[in-house]
Amino acid sequence: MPRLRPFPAYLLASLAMLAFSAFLAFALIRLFQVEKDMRNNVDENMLWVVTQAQVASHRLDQAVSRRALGHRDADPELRLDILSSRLTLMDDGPQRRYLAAQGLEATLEAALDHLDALLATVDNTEGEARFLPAALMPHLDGLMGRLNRIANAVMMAEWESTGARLDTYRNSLMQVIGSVVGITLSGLALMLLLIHALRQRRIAQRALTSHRDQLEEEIARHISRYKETADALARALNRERGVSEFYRSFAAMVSHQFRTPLAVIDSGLQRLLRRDHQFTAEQRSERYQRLREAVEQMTRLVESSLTAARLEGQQVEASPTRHSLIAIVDHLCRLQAEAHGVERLITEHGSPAAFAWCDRALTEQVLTNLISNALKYSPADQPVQITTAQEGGQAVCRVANGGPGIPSAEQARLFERFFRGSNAAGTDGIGLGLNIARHLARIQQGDLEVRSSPGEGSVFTLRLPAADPEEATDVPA
Amino acid sequence: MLIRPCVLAITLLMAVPGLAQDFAEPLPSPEGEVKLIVSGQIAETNQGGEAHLDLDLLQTLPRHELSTSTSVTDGVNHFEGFLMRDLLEWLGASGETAVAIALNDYIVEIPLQDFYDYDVILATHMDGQRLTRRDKGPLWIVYPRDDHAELQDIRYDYRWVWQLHRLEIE
Repeated sequence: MPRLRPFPAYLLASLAMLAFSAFLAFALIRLFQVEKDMRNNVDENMLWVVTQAQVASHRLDQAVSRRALGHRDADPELRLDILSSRLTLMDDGPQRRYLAAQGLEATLEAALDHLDALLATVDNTEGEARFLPAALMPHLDGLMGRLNRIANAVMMAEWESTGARLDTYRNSLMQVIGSVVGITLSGLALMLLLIHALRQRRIAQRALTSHRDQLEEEIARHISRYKETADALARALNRERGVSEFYRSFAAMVSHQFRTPLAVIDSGLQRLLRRDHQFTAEQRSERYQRLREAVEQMTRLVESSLTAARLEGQQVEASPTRHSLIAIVDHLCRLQAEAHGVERLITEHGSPAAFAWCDRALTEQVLTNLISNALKYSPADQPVQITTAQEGGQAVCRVANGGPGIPSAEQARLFERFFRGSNAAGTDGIGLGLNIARHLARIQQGDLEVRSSPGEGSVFTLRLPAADPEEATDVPA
Repeated sequence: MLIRPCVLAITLLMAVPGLAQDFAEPLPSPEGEVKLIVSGQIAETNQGGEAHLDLDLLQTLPRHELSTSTSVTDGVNHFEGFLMRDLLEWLGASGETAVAIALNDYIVEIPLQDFYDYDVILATHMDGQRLTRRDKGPLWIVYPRDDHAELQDIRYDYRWVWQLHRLEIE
């Protein structure tokens, strides 16, 4: 990330702006001074004033001469008044000061003295003799000479002053040009600073954006890590909870269910001990057989209790793959026939063939339970019908028997743990099979239900998620 | 600023008897020395298509006073005389320009509009003294220079004609 140094940039910008303003102010002041100087240019008028006085003196001279020659229309009186007027003007404040500044005061006084003499001569004379050339000419000549000198000096003074003023103007112009150069340079500096600042800002913004993105990524990474940890913790906690639930559940079942077979074994053994001599060999053998059956039942009970407790503690996990329900059912029927030699199982497979998305071992356990129940709770001469079908999004297997049926009041409680129906009284069992079967169906995203009416038998239906029949991942049985 | 409406009102009041007089008799002939000759586009004349005016005739115009500095004298001077526009009204002048000619043949053109925009006077007195031919008299066109900044300009200074002798209205 580039380093930003705002302070020197501001300082430079302030200096540039200060220079810009100073140059501008200086240039404006100079220009204003020049303008004022040009406007106050009084002395340019002076040459005109003096020249007019000269003209007036010459016209008086002319008029006097013409009058002497007998021209009646010559008006020397008017010409004298005009000359007087011009000299009065030269004697007035501003004009007199100007002439004095040029060292012409004495000359002006001399000219005015000559004028006074002329006026006195004319005013103090009567009749035709007033404008006699002989009386007027000496004064008029003197006056004209003085005016000539004044005009000469004024001309030179004006040229001098004009030259000096042009020098001043040129000077001012050079200064203004210098200021304009300064203004341009300051402006250029300001512009460069501005461009630099804008570039800095863009860089900073870009850096900020990328930094923010990085930060966001990092946070997301951290969050996902924490989430993973939290999930792992939750899973571990769940597992722990499951384990403790398993122990609790197993302990409860042991204390509840193991007493009866243990009591049966105990009392059987006591009887054998007490009356061993009274029993025949057959009787003894029969009693041993019964004790073995009680131990077998206990073994089954331990197995079932462990399974139920595992399910309760969520220790059983389904790992579903694609399986053919037909294959599973046929395999189970074959096993059943081989083990018990029964020929009561009739299978019927619907079309299309049912493929389920399930855990094969768990499914086999459920179906084994259903088949053995169906055989157990129906007369020995009645067949047990097993059908498979594809119904909508489900693979379905139904196990039906022609038994006495289950009262509708008991159907709702049939899947409860340790529940045994009223017509199961004569058969051995512990009331865990259906409970476990339904659990197993459900952890495979399926279900197990019963439909039964007394006298017509019962139908247990296992429903499992259907699998695509085309997929070739089926493991052959 | 209040002066102008007042002057206008006075001018209007004077114009009524003036008009009546105009119809009754033509412009009287001058009895004294002629100080100002007005020619060109004017309605009232008294000699050969021109108005020849002596001081007595000029004296019939309403007096007007103003104080101002000038470009050729020191300090503020007090001027008395009459408004140029009163003179033009009196003579029934029509046109755009007055060509002012002085005794020394100084000649300058002045837009008549000047006399309506500003209270320009034809001064007969300065600081209580009658202006004479040996100074800037007898008549001096004076602008109210101090009352209007735009009049403090050399382009107005040359219109201050002294020793005014003739006005030609064009």
